Amino acid sequence: MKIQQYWYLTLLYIIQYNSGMTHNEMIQEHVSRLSAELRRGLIVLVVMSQLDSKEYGYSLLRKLEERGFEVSQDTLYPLLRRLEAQGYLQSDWQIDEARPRRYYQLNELGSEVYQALHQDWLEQLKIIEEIVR
Amino acid sequence: MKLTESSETLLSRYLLAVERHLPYQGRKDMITEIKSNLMDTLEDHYPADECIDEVRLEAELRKLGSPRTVAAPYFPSDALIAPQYNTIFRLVVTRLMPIVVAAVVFAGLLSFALSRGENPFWSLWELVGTGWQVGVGLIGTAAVILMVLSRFFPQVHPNKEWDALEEDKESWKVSDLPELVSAQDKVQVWELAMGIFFGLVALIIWLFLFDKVAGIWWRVGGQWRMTPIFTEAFKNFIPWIAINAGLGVIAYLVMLWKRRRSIGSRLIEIGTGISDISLVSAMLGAGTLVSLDKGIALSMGFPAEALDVLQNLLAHNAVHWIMVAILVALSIDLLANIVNLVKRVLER
Repeated sequence: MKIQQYWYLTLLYIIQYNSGMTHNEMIQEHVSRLSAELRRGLIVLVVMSQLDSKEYGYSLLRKLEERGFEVSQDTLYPLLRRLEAQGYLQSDWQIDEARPRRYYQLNELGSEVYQALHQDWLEQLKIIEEIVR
Repeated sequence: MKLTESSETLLSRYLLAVERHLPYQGRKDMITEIKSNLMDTLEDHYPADECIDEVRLEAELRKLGSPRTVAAPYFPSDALIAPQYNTIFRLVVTRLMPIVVAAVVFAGLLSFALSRGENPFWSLWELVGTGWQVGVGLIGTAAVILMVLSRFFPQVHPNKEWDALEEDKESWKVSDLPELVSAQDKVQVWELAMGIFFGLVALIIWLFLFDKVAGIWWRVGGQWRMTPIFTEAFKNFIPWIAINAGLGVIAYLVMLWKRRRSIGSRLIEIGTGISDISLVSAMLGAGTLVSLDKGIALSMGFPAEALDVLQNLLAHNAVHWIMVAILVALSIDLLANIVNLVKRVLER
């Protein structure tokens, strides 16, 4: 590590220390930011995995939350529309309930793509586990 | 969960604001879905018989964020010009704009040369200004149009996720890659462009405007006036000077085309250098090249003190010594070009 990088880290630490953060809080903040980035990369796989049956936006959001995968509304709802625009999902409005709700489900292409993506993920996971021990 | 009348109004106003920030395409459908999801959230947070007043609803809406924040993720990109319009914008800036500006400047130079304008300096500045206005105007207009299109039609191909790098993945060949250029052969495009521009301006002046602009200029009574100082002996050299200026422009064009100094461009530079040295040597032996008629200058309103200074300079052979200095500089430049050419040939 170059000496400039030590200076930079020291300065960063001083700034964070003076902002009232403890060392652990600072580490936690870094981790949560990086962890959010990791989850962002997996969100398509996770969402597709839940759409073999029909789900509307809020029900899917709750389902993911209950399983421990938190995703914000402003990420999930536009993502569903984007996956539909890309041809992986089909949707229909159901108006026989208390209010109209749009239900999404994987179509034939989406199912095939998800299967392949899932397989690819498992292989990637093996490789990553080998690397990150 | 029930909404009071005032909270119903607040919700409608909030959704209207969100709708206004959504992409034009599919806006109605999006806002219906956003409302549906929002109502599901509220229903989940409050028991069926509870009434939500304006204050509580506002607190819930604040959790979602501003209408713009809620609408933003429905755009494929938050760039002012959406990525799928980037190719068009790049074409306008890198291809269309230079062609249009070059055409405007060329047309201006042509009409300027043919009309032999009354005030050549101002005409030239106006031409530069027009070229600039056309270039910047074209880029600005394209940017505004593409920003409007990005706002209302953010997704040109709904079935295709835009990949910003996709357009750079076109096929390429090794032969298309630029050759490595040594420090001696490196050229700066802007320097060459300036050289070509001023070379062309000089050519136009030498060939078409010499009698109108070549002389001593002085501002008399709020107007610029010129008294000619170049003799017929000097004017006899103008075709030769123009040929050398033309050769210089050709050398710059060759370098611009190759994006480097090549053996060909060095040969042209050496040829021009030899011709320049011959020209200056011939001029040195051609007698009086510059003379000032004090009587005419005084009658035109030139200040006598300034004329005295100029006459004094001419009497002390100032022109001769300037030509000698030019000759020395040209010789050094020619020598450097020859040395570099020999080096390049030997390196091969």
